[in-house]
Amino acid sequence: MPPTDRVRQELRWSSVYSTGNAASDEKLEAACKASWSYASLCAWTYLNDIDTAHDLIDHAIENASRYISRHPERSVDKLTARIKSVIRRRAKQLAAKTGRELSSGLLVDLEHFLIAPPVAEQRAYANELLDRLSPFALSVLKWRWVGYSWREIAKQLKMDHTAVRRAYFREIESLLHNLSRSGDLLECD
Amino acid sequence: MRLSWRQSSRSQDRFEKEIAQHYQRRVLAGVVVSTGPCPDEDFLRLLAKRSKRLELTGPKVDHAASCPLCMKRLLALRQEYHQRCRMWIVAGMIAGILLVGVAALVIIWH
Repeated sequence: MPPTDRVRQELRWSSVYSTGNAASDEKLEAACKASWSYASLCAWTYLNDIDTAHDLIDHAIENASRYISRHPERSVDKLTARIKSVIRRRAKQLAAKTGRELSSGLLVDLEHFLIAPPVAEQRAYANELLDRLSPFALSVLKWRWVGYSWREIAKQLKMDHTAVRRAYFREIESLLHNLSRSGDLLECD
Repeated sequence: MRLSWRQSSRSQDRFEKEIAQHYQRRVLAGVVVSTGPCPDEDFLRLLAKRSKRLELTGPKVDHAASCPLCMKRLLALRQEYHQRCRMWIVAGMIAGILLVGVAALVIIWH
């Protein structure tokens, strides 16, 4: 996310959702900062659109500001957990609304990669693909390489394992689809 | 419908393995940039065992999976761990067979 967006987001956190109580506002801000990466992760996993993270966190903060106004004694950890829970719920709702699965890329592209091309071409595809992976997908790739199961990865991310797996393959299939369409392969190494 | 889902899952698994191998080759060739210091041997041992105590989102795991030196060590430790597991399984099976044999002999004797 570009820094300007982050500044804007932080400004919006502090100004729009003020509870009128300095201590509560401080807690809310800390919880929002702690939840931001989770919002990005949910936007990637459930919605295949990283920009939606702003909407998710906006919705969660609105909910959390009402909550902290009612219970000002709640800790930052509890508030963070609530925000994350609201983010996850909202992301699932939006994903269901937009039609269960956003099609981007085809399984045929995977098959094409596995069967058709010679080794050199396959390597060029793979290099290009690895260079274009998003940070989330790259992290998942690393954890899978280490040998962790989808369930173990999802547990650490506080997500559903099928959603993480689906999001990972959705991104890869989408990249492969774009690569096979554009044919803009880099040179083999 | 079910058949196609199974097929797709298999393709994805195969593809994932291919990509992981490509990634490994790239790291070992030094193409991937790793940040931060190398983790200690104990950490790599835990990672090779896929310990649930480790925090995956931490920088150490990220480094270990992108540094050629750590990856080489991790591959060696992983192989060592698998060999030890296999040895325990074989030892367990031999012990089980011996136990059943002894029990059968005792029953026949009586």
